[in-house]
Amino acid sequence: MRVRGWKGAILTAVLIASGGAATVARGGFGDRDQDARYTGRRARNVIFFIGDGMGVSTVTAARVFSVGVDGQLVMDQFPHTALSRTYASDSITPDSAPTMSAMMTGVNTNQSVIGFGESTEANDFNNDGDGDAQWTLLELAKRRGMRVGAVSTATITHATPAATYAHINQRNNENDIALQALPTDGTFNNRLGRGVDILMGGGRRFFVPNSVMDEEGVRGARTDSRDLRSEFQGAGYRYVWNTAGFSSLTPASLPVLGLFESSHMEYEFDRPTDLGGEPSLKDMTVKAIQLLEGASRRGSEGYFLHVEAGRIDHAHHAGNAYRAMTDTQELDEAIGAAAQMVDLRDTLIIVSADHSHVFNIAGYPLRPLQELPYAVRSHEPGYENAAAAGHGILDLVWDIDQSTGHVFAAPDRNGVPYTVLGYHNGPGYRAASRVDPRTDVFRGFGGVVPTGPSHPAYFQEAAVPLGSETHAGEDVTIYAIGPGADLVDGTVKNTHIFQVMKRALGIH
Amino acid sequence: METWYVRQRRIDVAVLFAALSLMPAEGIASAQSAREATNTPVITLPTRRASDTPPTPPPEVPAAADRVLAVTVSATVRRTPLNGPTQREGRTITRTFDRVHIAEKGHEWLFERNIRDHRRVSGSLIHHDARAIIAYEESDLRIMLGIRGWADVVALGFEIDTLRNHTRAEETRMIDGTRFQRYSTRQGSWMRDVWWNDEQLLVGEFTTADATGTSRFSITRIRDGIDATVLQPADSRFPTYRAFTLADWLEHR
Ligand SMILES: [Zn+2]
Repeated sequence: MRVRGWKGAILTAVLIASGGAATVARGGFGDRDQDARYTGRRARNVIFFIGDGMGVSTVTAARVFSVGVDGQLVMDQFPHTALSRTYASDSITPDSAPTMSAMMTGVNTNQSVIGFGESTEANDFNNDGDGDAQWTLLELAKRRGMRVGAVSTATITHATPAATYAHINQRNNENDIALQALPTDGTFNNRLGRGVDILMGGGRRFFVPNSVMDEEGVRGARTDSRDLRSEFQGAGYRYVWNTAGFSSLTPASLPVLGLFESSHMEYEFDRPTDLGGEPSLKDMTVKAIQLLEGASRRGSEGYFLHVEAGRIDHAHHAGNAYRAMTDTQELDEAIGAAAQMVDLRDTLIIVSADHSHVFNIAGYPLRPLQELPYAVRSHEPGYENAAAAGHGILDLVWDIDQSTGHVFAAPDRNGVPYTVLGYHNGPGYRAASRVDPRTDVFRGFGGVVPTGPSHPAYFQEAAVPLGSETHAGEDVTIYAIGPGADLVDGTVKNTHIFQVMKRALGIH
Repeated sequence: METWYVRQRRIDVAVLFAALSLMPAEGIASAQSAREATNTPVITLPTRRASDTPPTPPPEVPAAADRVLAVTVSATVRRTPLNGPTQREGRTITRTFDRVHIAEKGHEWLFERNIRDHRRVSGSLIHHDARAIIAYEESDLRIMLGIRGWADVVALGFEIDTLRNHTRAEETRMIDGTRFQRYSTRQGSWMRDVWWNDEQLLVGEFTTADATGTSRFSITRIRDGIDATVLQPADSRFPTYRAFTLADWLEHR
């Protein structure tokens, strides 16, 4: 017999007390997906966090970076975990559109497709129509009278948040995706009732005509001359674009459209430079929960909130591990804030990723000097600073000679040191002859020649020269806490997340 | 490895076994709810590493930037790696007080000064081979291309604030009626041989050097007047091209 979770302990005792030989169903999760008899405690609310591109190596590296190798991120503390298979219907390694569709609808689909099934191909290139739109969990929640919201540091029309409320055969048509959320538009997704209660993120360009400069002086991208900022306000939305407007939001403001950047929001590291001022992902998460909690009257239906850290993925594509680390850390901050705000007896929190990246933690790096359980006899200059380099993760691979106790920079076969973090492919390719990362003049972010691998501008090395680093196909982790979290177990297809959330909310 | 959670669960089970042996059957339900109330998992917010210093704000723009004449400039960029032959590229640059257009082989750039904050800039890359327009916002320009703001763009890539480190020399040079003053640079400076016009904020020539080689930018021709069509928004000039944000261009396969 095996049961999971703090609630499981109680269940164990009850089963023993009743003298039954009953076995809590475990088996394959495919079995549980078919099992409508889930009798666990119901969740009133569900918060679903996605770290876009946050594969296992990203979480591990961010843990070391943020809290040290033996520290605990907030997501690490969640009691239930599973491995999630991310493949798309037509691809071993997916993009965000089919994966978030799978997690939100329980049905897998093809690259670039949002909210349809696996017979729908990108751009309908077979001219056979898109078929039926799948129901998303956000739509099901809305149908049940729950409050719903989507928050992202990417554009709010980007594949991941869009897969909560839109259905389209090409993720890049963000101008059209915006219309599907507008209650007064002819293409509005009627399953959203009177609309999504909270939409907050970047992507103002898809709401502003291309003849108009927006509040931060950037040209819009709409080619139909429509200004959706005013159209959303006409449909009853409160529209905000900067931190001042954001701060003024109250539950009475709902529904809310917050568009804080023309394109994607700033990386967390770069956020202080923004013209209008931007809330952080944590700020947006806290605000969204306050508004949803406040608007859901006591005893009434709860809420569903999706929160995405959309730019972990972008930093990886650019080959810059630093920003992937700082944005993952910010996601963990947002998760921590949420976990402390809500009642974990009635709110299910799930954290996962849509896919991984070809991002590696390489070599056998020695921990920083201050973290070692023994004294070293001697070391090369620089090792004493490893702790400051993200607890050693943004540093060279340091090694120790076990006969002499001397710490040295681990060499490649040509005697040249290398870094802990790297990419299989991407813009960080250094051509045939590598050089010592400490003296590497390869221009990183901003054309800046970084002063070593812990510099925010450093491009980690890549083995294959590509203009953009790519996603990776291995499984990602699901973390869960709260009622229904015990259904997160084993190795599952990402569609299982939909089943867990649906089951926890008691939606049939 | 035993986590706090596994330890906690073992304790839970042990406590319940002990309690059950002492408890009448009807007491179980209330014990459950009490336990549920007290066993809510506790999340500890970790202590994290200190934040690094954020990027600096965009540089100030000299007052002369508002008065620059509309010109069309032909320029050459010569790149000489340490080991290898010099590569030469020609550019046609159209500049007004609030826009800069650069035509290069296979692609064009259009930079627009921010109308709310004149220190800031955004840009579009028109990629003719891919029939795509890629939007670069302020931070995209900064972190991908090293363009810190409008000051860097209006000066055609020359960093005006580095003039502080140079000494104005007597020597001057004329290019199509525009006079450029030579600035001498310190030994070992990464920027050398600067020829600068302070009123028009034009750099006639400058050379940058690092461990990989040198790059020299030089203006070969300056014409008054511009072709205003190239300063139109990119999507109105190329309506059939697909539009991307930079991040989505990188996502695009
Ligand atoms: Zn991606």
